[in-house]
Amino acid sequence: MSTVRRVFFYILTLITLGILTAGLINLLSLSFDTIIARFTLAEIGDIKQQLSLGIAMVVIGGPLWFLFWGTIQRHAADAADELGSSLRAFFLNFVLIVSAFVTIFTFSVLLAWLMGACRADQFSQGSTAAFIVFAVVWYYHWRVSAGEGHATQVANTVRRWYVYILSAAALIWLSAGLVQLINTAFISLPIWEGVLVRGSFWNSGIRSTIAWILTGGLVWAFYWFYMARADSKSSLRQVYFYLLTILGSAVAGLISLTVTAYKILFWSLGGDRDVVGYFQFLGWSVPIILVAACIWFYHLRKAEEEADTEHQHQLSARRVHHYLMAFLGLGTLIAGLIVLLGIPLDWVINSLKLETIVMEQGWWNNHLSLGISMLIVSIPLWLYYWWQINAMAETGGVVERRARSRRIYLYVIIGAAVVMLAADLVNIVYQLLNGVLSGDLGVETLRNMRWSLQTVFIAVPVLIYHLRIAKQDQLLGAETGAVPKKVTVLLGDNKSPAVLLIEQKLGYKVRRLRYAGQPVHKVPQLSDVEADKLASEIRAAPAENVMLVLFEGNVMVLPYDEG
Amino acid sequence: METSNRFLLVFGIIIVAIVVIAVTLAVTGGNEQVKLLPETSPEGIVQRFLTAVKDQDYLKAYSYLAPQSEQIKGDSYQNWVSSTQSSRDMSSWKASILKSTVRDNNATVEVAIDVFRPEGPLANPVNTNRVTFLLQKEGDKWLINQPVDIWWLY
Repeated sequence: MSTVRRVFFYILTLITLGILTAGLINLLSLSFDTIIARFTLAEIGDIKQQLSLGIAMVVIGGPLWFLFWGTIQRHAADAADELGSSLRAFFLNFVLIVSAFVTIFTFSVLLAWLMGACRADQFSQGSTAAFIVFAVVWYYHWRVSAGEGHATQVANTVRRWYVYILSAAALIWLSAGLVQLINTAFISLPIWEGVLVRGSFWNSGIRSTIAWILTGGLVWAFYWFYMARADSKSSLRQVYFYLLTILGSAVAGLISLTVTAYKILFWSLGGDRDVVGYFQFLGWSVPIILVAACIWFYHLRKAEEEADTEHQHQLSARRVHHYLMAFLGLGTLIAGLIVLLGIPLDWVINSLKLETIVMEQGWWNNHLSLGISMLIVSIPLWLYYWWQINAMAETGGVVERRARSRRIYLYVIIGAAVVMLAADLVNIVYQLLNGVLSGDLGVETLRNMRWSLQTVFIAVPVLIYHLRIAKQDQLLGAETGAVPKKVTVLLGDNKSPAVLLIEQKLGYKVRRLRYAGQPVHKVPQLSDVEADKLASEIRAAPAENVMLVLFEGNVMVLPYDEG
Repeated sequence: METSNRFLLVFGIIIVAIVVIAVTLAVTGGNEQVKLLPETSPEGIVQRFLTAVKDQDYLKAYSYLAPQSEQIKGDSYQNWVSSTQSSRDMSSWKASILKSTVRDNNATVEVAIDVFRPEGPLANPVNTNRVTFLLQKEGDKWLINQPVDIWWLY
């Protein structure tokens, strides 16, 4: 079957499946109208149209889906490569993602209804019908997918996307639900003054939140502990760990921590507004910090545990984490300093000419609280991770300085500082020139470039400091030989510690070939100095490819060209 | 000491200096009393109107608006108050006079209103709105013709 023909069949299968599903939901919803909601057909207005549409969709969509899907299945049975094809993997996982999301949403609605004493007037026929139909669609395609296995790399990758998307979404539902529940409980405590009327705590909002917690928890447990098990080698899992869960929870936790510090500082500096409910913010900020900390610790530990099996993997994971956290800390530190710098600048502008006629209480305290809270959170964070990074660079030498995460970290900061400086200087020069040319150079000009002055003042030292580090790295060889040699190691034992040491010194993995001749008795051992020397020899090799032979205690470095 | 560590130390000293200056200015600036301008001047009326809005004394603020203003004609006090209250949020703000002009019975007072509302780590938390108040003299009293709503608090 040609690719175009296969695409044609998969698209039509998808469309007809949609028609069949919509028809079934329609009919099932009508049935619930008459059974659960205890209405008679005569009592439900204008059901004829709904019934006709439902029947038409099922009668037309059903046979067509059977026809197209049956054709695909027959083709898959005949052609072995169809089962692992990327097209089939996309189709199956797309249906799985969509049906899983709808099933989860509708299940949550059903659960909330069940918790609310199953009142007939609150029963949602449409969502219950959708839950049943989509659950069947999901289960069928899941069985099909599981039965086929994931023969190719593409099929595996697409499946991983499906698993990690659902896992991440469920973790977000679970976390958001927990925060929401604690916040609602906190606000409902009988300690807040000025409450005239208090509604029931066990309302539809709370039931819905609990339903989301249960659904999110179940779905996360299923996808994370069952579907994503034994997947520690995948790159997508590392992305999930470091960019989504660890970085995401760190960002959420730090924002909440900053807001908490800001609010408390503002209050302690004399902020007197809305005293009655002022501390209600603790109801969401503290749970976010706690939940984010749990997610952060768990995923960091899990990532480290999985990386423990390979030293290089572990080093790389640790490095990525350190640079991400240092980046967050530095970003917050810069933001805090910029806010604080606004205070003296504003003071200078006001004292020069501008006449303040109205100032709300807390104007200065707001700036001060925000700036200082950012510093309180960011300084320990940045210093801790930056010192760790410096220690890694000291012990790791040029390999550490050449690490991709370090290069990205430095160049992102340098790039951002350069862009910020350029934008600020453009504005400063523009304001000055405009003031001179229009004969209106004065306090107003200074006022118009206030933000640019604040950011320039911070961007300059940040740029200089990181440029010096980048230059120092460059002098130590971090930029030279950035294109690594393709190293293949031939050895008797592919778990030899010598290979791990070479990989550590080179900073990347090497290809391993195992000698298949007579059993090798003498496993080569390398000292740290020998490994360093060997790594230098590989880097200096006159070809892009290097064959390293570790055999019976001997080591040979053989540069070679292909072709 | 390594050069990078020396630089870090300098950076630390700069941070401490910024914090000390900011705290000093915020604490002393916070206690600074705003000078009340004469009630007979257009600037004084704008100041009193803004002060009344700040203190949520809407009846007083309304008294500084010209009743025959096109923007307020046909609108009740209740409607004005509800629209004004909906414009208020928890942001703090301050107002400074930029320029004022008086010509016969008409005056314009240009005011810069700085609203403090943090919106992101590297976004300017102070949003400046320039508002030109148009006033007219009725008898010996200046009244604000426009704007009568407080959109500038956004």
